[in-house]
Amino acid sequence: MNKQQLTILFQQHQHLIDKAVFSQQINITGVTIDDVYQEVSIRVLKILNNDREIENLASYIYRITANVIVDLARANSRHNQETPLPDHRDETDSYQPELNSEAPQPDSRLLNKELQQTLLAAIEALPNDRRIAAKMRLQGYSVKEMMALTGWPYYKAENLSKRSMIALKEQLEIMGIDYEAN
Amino acid sequence: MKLTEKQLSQLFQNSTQDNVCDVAIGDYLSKSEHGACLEQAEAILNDRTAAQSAALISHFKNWSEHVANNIQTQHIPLTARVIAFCQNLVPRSGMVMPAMAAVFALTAVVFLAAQKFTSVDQVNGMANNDVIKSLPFEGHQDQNDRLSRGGFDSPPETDQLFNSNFS
Repeated sequence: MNKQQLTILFQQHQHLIDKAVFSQQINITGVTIDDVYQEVSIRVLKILNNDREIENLASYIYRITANVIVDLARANSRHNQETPLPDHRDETDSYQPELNSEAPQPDSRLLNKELQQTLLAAIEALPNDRRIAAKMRLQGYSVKEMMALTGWPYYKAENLSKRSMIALKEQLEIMGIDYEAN
Repeated sequence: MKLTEKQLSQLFQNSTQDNVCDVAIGDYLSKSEHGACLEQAEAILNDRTAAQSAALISHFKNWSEHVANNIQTQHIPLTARVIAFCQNLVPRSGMVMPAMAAVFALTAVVFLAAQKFTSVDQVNGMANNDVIKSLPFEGHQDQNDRLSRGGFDSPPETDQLFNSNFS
């Protein structure tokens, strides 16, 4: 088996991950499915060519894929942090910011920072399961993804997803922030 | 101040942007079905990159199983696959072994019978074309002795080799 055959094999089963690949909720910028296939095929081929006995190949491929996705996401995140933004350009640069720039102004940044701290405090005040459920919901998790991360059964995940946001709304109201639930 | 869930979501995601958790997400997710450690789950959720990656990775479980099955099928030699197939059949039904024995016996009978008929045809065919065997031993010699009229004993006048000389 060579790299091309392996990539074709990956593509044959792509319908199983299309929902995730085209999801609007999952946001990992700079990581494409082709990048994942490329890296996973290289690592899987290494294992196959070694003729090493693998007890559970499915689990092995799953962990390899997970590591590849995390590595690519971290590399992309580092790259974004290291790339200078327009704000960081030096004075000799000819760049002039637009008058009606959409970049956040210092006062709105401060407001965001305060809001962030209030939100985090409200989340931390929630009971254990609801706190985790609220964090998953705010990270854009679906019920199925919640089940995968926590091992909760479907009804528990769905129930906690709703109840956690109601509890968060009550907590935010106490702190003076009105939250419009979906 | 009134906020929507989308704004809350953005605020929370921005607050977790710079955090880095040290949980091995692949290992964690492969065990989480059998009882997850919620502390580790929360550590993943507090790191935006890890949280988004974990959400994506969770969809690759079925995909990995299908890919692994196909790889294993392609790597096993044909004989081993046939043996494995037969071994898989045996425990499923008590009727499989007698049925297979009956099919084998029937196939063997049909094969042997076909062999016998072929050999009879071949013998008959040879007999029909054999000139010596087809000729009668008795009867009028001038009419029936085709061997004698085969031209082996031709008159010496027609034999050019016999008539020629080397001088």
